[in-house]
Amino acid sequence: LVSTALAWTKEDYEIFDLVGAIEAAEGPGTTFYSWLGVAPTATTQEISKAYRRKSVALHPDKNPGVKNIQKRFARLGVVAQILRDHEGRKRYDFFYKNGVPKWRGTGYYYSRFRPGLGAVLLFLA
Amino acid sequence: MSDLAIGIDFAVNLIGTTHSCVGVWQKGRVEIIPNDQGNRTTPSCVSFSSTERLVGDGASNQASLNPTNTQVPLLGLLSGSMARVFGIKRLIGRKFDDEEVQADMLHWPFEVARRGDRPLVRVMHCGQQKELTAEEISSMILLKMKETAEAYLGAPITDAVVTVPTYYDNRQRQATHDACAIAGLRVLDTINEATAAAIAYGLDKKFYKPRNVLVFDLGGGTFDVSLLAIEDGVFEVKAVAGDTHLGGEDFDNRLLAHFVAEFRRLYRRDLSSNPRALRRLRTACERAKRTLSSATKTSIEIDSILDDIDFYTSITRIQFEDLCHDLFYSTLKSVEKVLRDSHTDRFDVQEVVLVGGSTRIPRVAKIVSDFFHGKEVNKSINPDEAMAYGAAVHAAVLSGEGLGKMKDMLLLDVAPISLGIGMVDGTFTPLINRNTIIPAKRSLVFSTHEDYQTHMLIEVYEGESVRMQDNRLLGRFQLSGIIALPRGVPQIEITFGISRGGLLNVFAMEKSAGYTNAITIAEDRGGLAREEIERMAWEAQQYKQQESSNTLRIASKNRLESYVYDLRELTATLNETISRTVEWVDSTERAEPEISAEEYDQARKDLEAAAFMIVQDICGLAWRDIPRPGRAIGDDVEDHSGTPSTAGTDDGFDRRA
Repeated sequence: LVSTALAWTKEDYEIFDLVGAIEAAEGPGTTFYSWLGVAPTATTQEISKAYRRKSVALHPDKNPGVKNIQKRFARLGVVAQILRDHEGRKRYDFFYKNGVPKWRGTGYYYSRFRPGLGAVLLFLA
Repeated sequence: MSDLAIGIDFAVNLIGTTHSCVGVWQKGRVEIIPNDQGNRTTPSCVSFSSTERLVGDGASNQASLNPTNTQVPLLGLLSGSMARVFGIKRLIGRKFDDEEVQADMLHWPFEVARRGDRPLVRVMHCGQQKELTAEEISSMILLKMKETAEAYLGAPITDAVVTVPTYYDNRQRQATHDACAIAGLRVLDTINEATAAAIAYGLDKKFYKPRNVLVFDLGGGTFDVSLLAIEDGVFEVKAVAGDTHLGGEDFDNRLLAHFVAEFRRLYRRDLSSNPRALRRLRTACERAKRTLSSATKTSIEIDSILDDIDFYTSITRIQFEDLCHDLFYSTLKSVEKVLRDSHTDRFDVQEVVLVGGSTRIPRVAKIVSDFFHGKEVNKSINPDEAMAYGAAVHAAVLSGEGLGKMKDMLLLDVAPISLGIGMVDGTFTPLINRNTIIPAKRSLVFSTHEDYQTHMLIEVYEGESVRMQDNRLLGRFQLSGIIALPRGVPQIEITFGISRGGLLNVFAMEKSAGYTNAITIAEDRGGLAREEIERMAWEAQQYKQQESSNTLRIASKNRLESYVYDLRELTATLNETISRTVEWVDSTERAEPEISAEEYDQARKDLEAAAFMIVQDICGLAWRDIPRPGRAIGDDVEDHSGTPSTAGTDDGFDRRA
């Protein structure tokens, strides 16, 4: 039983999605670290501190009526959760150094952009 | 009218009984609002009798009078005159068949009925049997707190932050929301009790280094532990754990069982079949438990507890601790869980804060202190008011009232219990893990398990077990219109969102077809329907009107009575003066020296003056008690012909001139 080198796990996919969503919402080139405003070498304490500071700025309680604030805050929570967890941070750091893969495996695309019946018919025609 | 928002600690837990407390942020600080009796906390207690309904202090006074002054058995509400409903917080958001409800029913002095799967409290009110939901009874207490705040602030209040036990599940939180809606309160947020206590502890302190604070809250009916990191005004909850069914009431129950057994041993009689005796014994147990926090030995003396048996006995602190030993130690499981969940070593906890009345038990404080290697525990915050204080601060932040001072104050609360969906193979897949910071949102993609399946039942559970049945079913809904495809091919995205206050939203979407189906767990998990809430809110208004019309009726009756008696007295004086003059006139008929015209005139003037004084008094009476609208009419009169009291005077003078 051999598993292929390029088989990304569920957690990897979550990171891919998150990287994409953060770049879209917070500006291109934004990484988890730059969003929090810490160095990639920051300790867990520093990340916690930065997270708390950032959440004051992004919490829905502080920004009533701002569009998409709930989503951005929820994303911040996930980012903090990943970076504060030893395992999660190692995983993210791998992609942070090597870049998020351009080709993410057929399964990834299939689950996200599965063509509808119309598109298939069009393609076949 | 007013932007003020109040913070309500719904049922502060004092030992033995539960109390509620209300606070408001005003002029840069929190004020705890005293009720109409001048007490800063109000017993969470409602009592019903043949003529009236009492909430708060009145009800709890009734309850303490009741067991000794009433001959009617308390549990036999149907034949009885009065029911004291307490411990309602344990009933809220529960199903009739829940083990806890069944176990508690044995101890409650009121009767629990069932409608569907919901437990209802059966009471006798004004000669009618009523079945009330826990939400309704809670709303009576919440309404009382609302009125307390309104009376104090002189303005209507609609917005509130309400505390809930940290370990309340989704259904119990929703039920609390429903109770607020019935009471006419808009819930800005619910705040966890332990978090509220932490705010009370940390608000005025400046920490330049993050500080890990463990809040240990053992109250009258619930037990919570929270670990928070406090830094620069940010209160981040790192993990919570607890037991919604552990607290002072359980210690009372242990004591009660102990004494019932002792009684059986001594007299070969069974107390447990006599509700009234049990009620009296329970009150004594509560008192004994409280005494044992300061004394090492206490006695129980109840005269004629059963027929003519007097029950005199005593208990030592050691005995009490032995009885509740396992309950005390079970709290440590939650403490360990919190530390494990937050990856925190027990040496990294800088402060341990004890709140809740039951932490006054020395043994409990000792166990906690020992667990943290003899660390000094902090008992500095007022266990009765801390939570209302924290809730008021949060209310101020949310309503924008306290923006100036609390710009940097932020609360990062977590979901206490994992939420997820049940899978075909009987397992449970969590979407929101416990201790996720809220508001939160997460989606996962699932698929069908049979070929060409077009319908799918989605069941939402909460709990920590990997097995579906061990968790609590919150609701289920059907997603239909899935395109018929081989199994595993359709992509169904399920999104869980937790909003402020910990309420869950579930959303399912068939990705390619775009069919969506959403439920808010609020509406589909045995909570109250909107119409029910409206009906109950209407009934609450009726109660209030009935009560206020009662007050108005009594006030009007008093006014009439005092007017009638005063008038009778004045007319009697007038009659007396008149008959005196008549007698004098009669006597002058036979008078030897003739009475001169001046003397008659003088007598007439005296009588006129006396009559005038009395008439003036009568007019004064008439003006005295008339409420505002009458005053306005009087003012009108004033415009035309001077002040009302001189209107009569003018008349008198005219005639005289």
